[in-house]
Amino acid sequence: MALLVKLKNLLIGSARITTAKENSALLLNVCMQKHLPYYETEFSEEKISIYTSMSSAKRLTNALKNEGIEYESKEWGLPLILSKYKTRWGLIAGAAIITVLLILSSNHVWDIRVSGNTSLTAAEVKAELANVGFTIGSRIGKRDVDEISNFLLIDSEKIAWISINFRGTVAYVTIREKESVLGERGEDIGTPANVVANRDGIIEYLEVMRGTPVVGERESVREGDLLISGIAENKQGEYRTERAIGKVYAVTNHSFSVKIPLEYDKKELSEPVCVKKTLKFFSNKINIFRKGGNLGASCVTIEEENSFSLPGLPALPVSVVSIIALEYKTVSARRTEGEASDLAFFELEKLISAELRDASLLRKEIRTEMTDTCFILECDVVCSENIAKTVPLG
Amino acid sequence: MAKKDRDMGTPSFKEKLGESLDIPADLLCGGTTLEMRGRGDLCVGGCRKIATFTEETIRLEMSDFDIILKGERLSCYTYCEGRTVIGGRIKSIEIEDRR
Repeated sequence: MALLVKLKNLLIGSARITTAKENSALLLNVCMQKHLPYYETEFSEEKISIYTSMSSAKRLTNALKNEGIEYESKEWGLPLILSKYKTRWGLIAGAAIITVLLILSSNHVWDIRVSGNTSLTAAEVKAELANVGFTIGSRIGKRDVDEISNFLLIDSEKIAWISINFRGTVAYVTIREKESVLGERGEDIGTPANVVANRDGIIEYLEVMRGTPVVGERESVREGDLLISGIAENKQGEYRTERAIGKVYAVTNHSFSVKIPLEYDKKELSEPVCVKKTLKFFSNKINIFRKGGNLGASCVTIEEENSFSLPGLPALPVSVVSIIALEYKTVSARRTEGEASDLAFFELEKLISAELRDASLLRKEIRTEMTDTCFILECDVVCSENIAKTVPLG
Repeated sequence: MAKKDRDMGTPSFKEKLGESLDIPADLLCGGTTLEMRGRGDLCVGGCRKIATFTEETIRLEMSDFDIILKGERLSCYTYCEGRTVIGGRIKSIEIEDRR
């Protein structure tokens, strides 16, 4: 039997009526008289079976009872399965709601993926898209996408080109950023400028792209000294200005000092308490739980968002946002020498990383001192770094 | 008279009427039609009742005669509104007058 017919019989429910072989003609005559269709007959050793729909089987068995014919009946199919769960209306309602939601939400954006960004983060690009009305939960439609792209390019100062494509309910956004035409101080990069030293040092080597270098290797320079000139002289003795560009690497000294007090105020946090829970579905929010009362003045709140996702599939546009409050009280505490030392070295590393991000460390000298009230850490660093700074002429 | 005519092999009144007025034979014989495709698919119209139904023999009661089918693995696929479809391997089809 064709697959589709088998599927149809499974969906509407089927039954097999079996009786003795000598009743076979009677069985078929009853089917004809009662207008009961059947779709298959089957003979076994001493019996005959016919297959019919569940609804026809009920009428057939009644007719056989009236004729006094013994029979056996077996039913199967979707109606039989559903009848077992007819009291479990919650399951049926839940399945129906999920089906409707899936159908309705298939026309909305579930996820946005950004590519092509270099200096802009994905979150910044999504924020720009949200400003023009495109976010998770927006309707999918080609016309809307074209309008959104145009509005974004008009409004955005950082995006030069954008493409939005859909694969199912996931929007793939590709951008190209505008190239900056501004210098370090925000001036136009065509402005004539000199390169000067931003700190004292001994020149190691220069990388000059444009301009006239006025210092050489192993020369000592002070902060503000001219390194590369933006004024060029031609063979006729005439002067012209240009924007000097280059890097000047020099050996420089840096000093850092960290003071960690031994007595300090410590925050003792209480047990976290959930004060609010919100279900976020696309861009809609439904409050699930909210704790009454106001938060105290000395209270820290943490907002966390947990999204749901299935393995190997993109994140679902459903998440639970929880706001957790922790009350704290301030108490006085005293650090041990070890704690103060660890904290001082940690702060020192932070200072060095921030100030000497692009420098090569050559030598470091550390001195520590412990007093009654604080731990003092002093560090002298010798490093090689680019001391070039562009300064406009005039 | 009609039985004598049939016994003698001469056309009955119904047959003559049908021939002269060009009426299809099945209309005069209670709507009896037989359509066979291949060896195992026989559609019979005008069946009033199934008298016998086994895998080797099926006897169908028509208007005034019976059709006896003999074969192997005979099966009655559908039987509704006087039409029945017989399947299996049919070896012989006999017609037997009841009157």
